[in-house]
Amino acid sequence: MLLKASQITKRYGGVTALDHVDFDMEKGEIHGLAGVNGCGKSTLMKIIAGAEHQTSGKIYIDDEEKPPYSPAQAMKYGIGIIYQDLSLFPNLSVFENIYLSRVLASGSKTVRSAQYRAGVEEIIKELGIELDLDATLDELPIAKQQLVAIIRALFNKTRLIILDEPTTALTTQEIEHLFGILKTLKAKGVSFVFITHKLTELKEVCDRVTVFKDGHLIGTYKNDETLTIGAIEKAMLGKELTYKHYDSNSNPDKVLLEVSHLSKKNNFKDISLTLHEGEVLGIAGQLGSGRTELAKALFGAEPADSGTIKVDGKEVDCSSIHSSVESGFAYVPEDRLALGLVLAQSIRRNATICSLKRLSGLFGVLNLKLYKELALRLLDELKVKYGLVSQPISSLSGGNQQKVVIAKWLAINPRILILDSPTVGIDVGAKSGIYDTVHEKAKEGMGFVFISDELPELLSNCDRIAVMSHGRITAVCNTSDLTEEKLQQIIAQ
Amino acid sequence: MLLKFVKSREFFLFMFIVVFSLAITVVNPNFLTVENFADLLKSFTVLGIFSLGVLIVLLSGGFDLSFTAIAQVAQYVVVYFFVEYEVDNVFFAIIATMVIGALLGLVNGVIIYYYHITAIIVTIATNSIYIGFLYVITEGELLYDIPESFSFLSDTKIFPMVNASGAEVGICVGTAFWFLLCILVHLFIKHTVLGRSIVAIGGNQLSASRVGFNICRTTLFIYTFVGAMAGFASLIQCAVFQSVVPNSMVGHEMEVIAAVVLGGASVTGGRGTVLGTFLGVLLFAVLSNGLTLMKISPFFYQIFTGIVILLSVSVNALQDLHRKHSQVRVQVKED
Ligand SMILES: Nc1ncnc2c1ncn2[C@@H]1O[C@H](COP(=O)(O)OP(=O)(O)O)[C@@H](O)[C@H]1O
Ligand SMILES: [Mg+2]
Repeated sequence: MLLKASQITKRYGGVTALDHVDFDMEKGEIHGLAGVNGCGKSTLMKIIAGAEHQTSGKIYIDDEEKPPYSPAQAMKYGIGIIYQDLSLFPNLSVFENIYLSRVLASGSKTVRSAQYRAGVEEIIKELGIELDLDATLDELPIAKQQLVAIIRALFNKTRLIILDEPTTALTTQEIEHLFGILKTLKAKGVSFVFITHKLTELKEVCDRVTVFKDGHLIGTYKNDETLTIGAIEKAMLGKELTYKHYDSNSNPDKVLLEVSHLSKKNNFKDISLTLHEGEVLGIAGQLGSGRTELAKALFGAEPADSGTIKVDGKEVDCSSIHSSVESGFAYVPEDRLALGLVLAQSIRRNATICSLKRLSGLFGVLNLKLYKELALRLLDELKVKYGLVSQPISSLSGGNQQKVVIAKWLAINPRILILDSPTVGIDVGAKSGIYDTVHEKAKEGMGFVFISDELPELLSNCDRIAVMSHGRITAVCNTSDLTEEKLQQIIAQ
Repeated sequence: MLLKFVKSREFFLFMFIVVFSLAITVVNPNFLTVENFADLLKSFTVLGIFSLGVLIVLLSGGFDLSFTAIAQVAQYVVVYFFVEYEVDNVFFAIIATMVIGALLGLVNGVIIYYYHITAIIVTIATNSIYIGFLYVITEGELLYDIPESFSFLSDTKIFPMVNASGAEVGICVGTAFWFLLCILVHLFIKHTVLGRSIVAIGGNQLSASRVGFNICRTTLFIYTFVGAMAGFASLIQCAVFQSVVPNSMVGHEMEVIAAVVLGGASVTGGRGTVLGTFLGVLLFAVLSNGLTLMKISPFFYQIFTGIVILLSVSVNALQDLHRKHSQVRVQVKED
């Protein structure tokens, strides 16, 4: 066996991130790892890669027990990890990114790069891809950068490559391409751990799937016909996710938002759509279809080049976040950790961060009483589960963090709330909590733009669904006319 | 390849220097003489050597505002004791100033690395502390009695030529050292693991530590290196001016940083070249000399320094923005 982790426990202070979990890897295997955010996937992988050390438990490599080791030692064992941020150097050439760690490991004091060229080119040829070795890394799109990280690992003679959520920033084609490469390498005996939130991806490439929940191992399953997505989901969440039916609150007589001919070079083109009061408008489409880019343009984060946006019939300015918020927009981003939260700050501060202006009186002095009350009311309204409001937001589970992001925007009563993949990687309770909140607010007349990859989620929550492809809207359908298969077909067209 | 070079900062600076030099020559033909150029290079050698240290810190994503203070201290201590004990050896002096500079720089590095304080804050503080101690101990007294051997750096020419009036002209030894250091630093950055680790840390420190670069050793090296360069520059400065004035260099940090940033180094780290830095310094030299020869008030030079910093930083920012903007995020289907 390539690797076996036995009865691994990891504690951070009082938090038990992993509790006696087992995990193993065969040679030439793609092993999927699933579980909601915070269940301990990354922690176990860091331990295997030597970046963290277990509190207790044993790791065997090639059937030999190894004492806790460093990342450099892990590299010598042939274990490499590719973090979500890829850990590359944007300012160096592609070639140097690939060979640099090898130079370090060799202990040499000088760099003679010519000797590495042939080896790197050989790997690139074997993978059957095109890559300009002399380009500066940050000139490449993310998908190519990811390949650079994989090539770097291969160049270091890595036998086990851990990919921590590698597909989140890739388009559908890029994901297919990545899978092709994983399969090629697997045939050559390279093993992969593959972490993802998209269960269809697990079904597609993995030989086995392991599921964690709250730091516990739920099970390791062989990926055959008997393993269904529903079963994985149930293992992850502890109970089956059922989608409620919600009554529509849409008021067809009142147009809340009207977007006409909105375009942005290299992002989207000629987008026209309407949103009624109390309506939940879904946006479906593959990654890279321009959904997130459209959301960011409405929110003023990356404004459009041309076109008009009207709220309540009046043309509004969305050229900056400030003016978009003034116009009534709010946005819950896809990447809540990086964009939605100030992780080191307290729960209370995160929840009230958008309302500070309203809470302050003369000379901008904060009214502490109002501030504390508002925080409690918001957290209560969204049923956030927390210990103390003064604890850092990072102490909350992923689902509760997401609720705080939503709460902070609801606090300023936006007219239109844009939700970009709001339920990725969160537990089932938090998911239905978020759905309930959406419909409560819709009843009060708030409009929602709901971007998601989960079709059942769109079908259960939205009044209408717009489908985007290649930067354009290709269809807008009433949800009542749709089934999951039909929607799938429209998206794939 | 050629296109890349033509679009580079180095090419732009080079062309600018050529055009500007020609323009000055038209107004004042004295500009384009060996004599004037050698003098010009001599008076900018100190800035040039400082700039090599600054380039290394900026490359690593760090910052240093204390190097002039370090230079003042190293200079004063060495001249004072060499005169006191009648040691008249320029090579000992070079080593001594560099060692003192390196030690003071190391103090910066230690504070920055072990206490995780922003480099800019640390070096503003140590600048005040170093220079404060110098003033307190010396009571601001000037030293005019410079060991004779020091003039080797400022007066000895390496390829002496004789001009029309019979005087020796040419590049002085100090300037030659500057050129030599440029080449050495260039090779160091490009071809040593330590040099690459500086550039890598400037690109992404977390990635660098994950790949296994020794961040501690590199950080300490960087600030030690700036200190050593400052020490060396200070010796040339006192040889050129034949005096030690405790506040002659401090306050000129921005000029050095401006030259390096003008040369294309990014203040956020990871980008910059020795050639660019050299040309940045050269452009400063040509401009200041040009202003003098064209009888324009030297105070404009200060205004110019500020504008250069602003412009260079904005150009870098605009380039980043442009890069971000022109990236294809979605393959939009055209009609
Ligand atoms: N450095 C740390 N200090 C304290 N707690 C941590 C640290 N890293 C992770 N945790 C906690 O460990 C748990 C598992 O985290 P992680 O392995 O990152 O989850 P996953 O990758 O499955 O989303 C979480 O509850 C998280 O808050
Ligand atoms: Mg994780």
